[in-house]
Amino acid sequence: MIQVNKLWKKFGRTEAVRDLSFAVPEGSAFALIGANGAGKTTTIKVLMNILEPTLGSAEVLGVDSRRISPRELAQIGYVSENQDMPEKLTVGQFLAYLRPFYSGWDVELEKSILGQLRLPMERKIANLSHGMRMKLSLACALPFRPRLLVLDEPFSGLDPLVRDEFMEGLLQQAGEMTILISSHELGEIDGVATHVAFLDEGKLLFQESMSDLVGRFREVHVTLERDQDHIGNGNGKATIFPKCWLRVRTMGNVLTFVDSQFSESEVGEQLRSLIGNVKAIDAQPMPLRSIFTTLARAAREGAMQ
Amino acid sequence: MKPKNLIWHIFKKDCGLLWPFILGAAGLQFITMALRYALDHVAWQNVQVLLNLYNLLLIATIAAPTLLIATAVHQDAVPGVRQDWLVRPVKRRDLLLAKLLFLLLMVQGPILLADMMQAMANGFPLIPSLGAAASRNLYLLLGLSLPVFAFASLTRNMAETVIGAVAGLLGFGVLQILINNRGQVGPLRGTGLFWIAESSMFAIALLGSIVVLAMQYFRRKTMLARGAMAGVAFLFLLAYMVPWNFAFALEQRLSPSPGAGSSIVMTFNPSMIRFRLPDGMSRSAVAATLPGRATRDEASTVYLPLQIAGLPADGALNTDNSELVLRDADNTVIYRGPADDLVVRKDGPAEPAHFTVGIRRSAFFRDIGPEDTPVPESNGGQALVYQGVALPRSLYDRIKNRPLRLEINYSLTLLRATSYNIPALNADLRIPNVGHCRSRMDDEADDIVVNCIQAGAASTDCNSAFLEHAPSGRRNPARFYCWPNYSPYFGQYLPDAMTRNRASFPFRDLSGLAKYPVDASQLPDARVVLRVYEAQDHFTRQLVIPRIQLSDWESLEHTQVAENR
Repeated sequence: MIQVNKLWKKFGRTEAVRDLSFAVPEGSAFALIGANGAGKTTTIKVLMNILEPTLGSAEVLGVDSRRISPRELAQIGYVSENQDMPEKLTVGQFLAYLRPFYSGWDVELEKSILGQLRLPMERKIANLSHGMRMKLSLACALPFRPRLLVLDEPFSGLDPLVRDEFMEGLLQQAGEMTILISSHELGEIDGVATHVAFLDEGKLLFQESMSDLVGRFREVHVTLERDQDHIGNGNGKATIFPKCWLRVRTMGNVLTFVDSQFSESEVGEQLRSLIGNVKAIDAQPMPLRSIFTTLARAAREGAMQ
Repeated sequence: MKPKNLIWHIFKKDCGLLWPFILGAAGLQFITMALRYALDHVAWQNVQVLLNLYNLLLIATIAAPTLLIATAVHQDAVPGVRQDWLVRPVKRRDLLLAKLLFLLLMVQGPILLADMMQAMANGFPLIPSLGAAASRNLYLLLGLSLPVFAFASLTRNMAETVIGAVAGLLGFGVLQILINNRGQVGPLRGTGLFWIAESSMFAIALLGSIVVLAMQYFRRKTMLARGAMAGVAFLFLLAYMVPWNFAFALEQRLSPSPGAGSSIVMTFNPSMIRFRLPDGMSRSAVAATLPGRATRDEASTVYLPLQIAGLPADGALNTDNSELVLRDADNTVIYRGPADDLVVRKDGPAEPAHFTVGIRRSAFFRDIGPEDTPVPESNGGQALVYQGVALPRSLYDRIKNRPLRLEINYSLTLLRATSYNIPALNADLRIPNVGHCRSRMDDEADDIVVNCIQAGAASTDCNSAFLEHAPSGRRNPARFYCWPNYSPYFGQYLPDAMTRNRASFPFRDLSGLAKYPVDASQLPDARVVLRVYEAQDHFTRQLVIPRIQLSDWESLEHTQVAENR
């Protein structure tokens, strides 16, 4: 559905996206994760042909992003917090304006979505709150049953109630469509994304399916035979651990770390060979939010290669 | 929806959003039109107040459409990455055409309608009214609306547009000053050929606008398009500098009666007496230093006696350009520059020829020249006139007593007159090519005032007119004005699609000092004779004087002043 190959995007001397490659499988819900300024929005704007790549290429629906035409755009729904809609139109006028551009616009579906999102039809877009605008943006992106739905930071600034309404509206209509969603917080796409790619400062750190990601991250608590205060307290000492062990800490006789390549059979063996006095090992699955925080922190500290 | 319906769909959206602005801009056109009509036809007590208001409205009639175009373009701005239309299946061609449709129907349309109504309200039939309105409309489209459209497409909002426009105009002004400071004022400026420079500018504006709009709407290359716009502005300025020879060669091809001027011969006649400045004018009084080509110093001006043969009895000869070349004895060029402009007219076989000499650009009729001076004719009916040659003072003082070879390369136009008679009192008649004319006595009862109004262009850029008592043939002094415009099309930004001409013909001196041949008692049988000169042929002549000493041809006044020093 989307194929990005060695994509670079520069703004003057600033490299917003660097050598980015990833693929979004058809039917997936692909999350592009990264901190603010990681290059997510730039990547999406390149995919939508709003920006041209500096180097490399991207294909969307089998078409080079630079050649995306109304034919492709008629199959893509786009929702973004950075979308300037005609402020002087009312919600109803805007929807009426958009309808003729999409041959597959389903008026019944539109009504159903509007009912679900509870948008005020007579209110001018200029007078909508941020949350309302995001819901309107979603309401404009779904009635033509897009093959690809692109959501750029859709939850940014939304309160939990609106966010839930938004998600509900989205998930009910998702069907077979492929979703590309960007967010600066992995926790936000919990339960939605099937695949994830992690961007940091324009570079892709990894991409994989959500199940693999959740499967390979564990928060490991190791109880040692005796106090090992010196382990992990100094920078020099920490280097003895594998690079896939993140946030290594000790407290008394308890060693904790996040294993980003967890394997139940290997972790005990590794611990015993490195430390020796292991009494007990407890490895817990991590919530997505914690995985994201760990990854972001590790990326900033340059721990991940 | 089909593509054309989508164009209409986008157009309707813009209209829906901007209808108050559209109504306001259109209303301004109609209010201004109505006020102009009232000023033309109603005698107002406090006319100055209305004129001031009218002048303000005129500015608004240009400013409002300009702002409306920019606002319509900004509804779906091209630069930027946040606009909603970028992610919709909107064909860029459709968007461009929708904006163009808006420009034509909502901006140009009301102007066309107001102009047409103005002409029809003044009594002109539908077709001429529509023709005049359409001609001005096209002029505005090419010279204003399309460039504004292209410029607005480079910006995201009105603030950017205004800042960009101010910066662009400043840059444009600086360039123009730089060019002017080099003495390179456009060669066609102030001549009847200026329409060629103007057309070139419009062609560049049109092509430039198309290029910029294509770059923006089909490629969205804003930075590149901004560069292209700057390039277009530079080329636009360069078009001001269309070379004279090229322009005149083109004008010659467009001569209505090629060969009509073939019998005209200009020769140096050293047997004539030296030129004398008109009474009251001294060399200091007529000295003037104006920028560029209009620099003139009477103390270093000589007047060459010329005789002009072959001028038809109802003809006028206009020098569109005269290039002076002075060569030393060894044939080296020591000066190349403009000679004075010269206009010679002859109204009939029994009437003397008149001539005017000076520099047209400094309004030579009043500031420098003797205006429309009657001159004797030789036995063969040749007009005896003087050609002014103004040189830089330092050069003149150096070379005035040296034998020189003098050449003047003339670009000339022969104009032929058509006469029209307008009864002096309370006439109301239509004259082809002149318009709807009315005559009346003014409030002081010392002038006959003639007002003519024409839908579109009127052929009155070169004319002579006088008050005549028809039974006796007595005439008051003629008024002659000749600043021809050879443009084949009609176009003006302001005020509208009408041409208005007004002239006063005195018949009584309120101080009682002067007495006119045609006075108040003869007015019932008097008429205003209007002779309208129209270009027939454009041609060149070269005057060569193999050996001349310039000091021999200083004006008598000049020599007298020099002797008294």
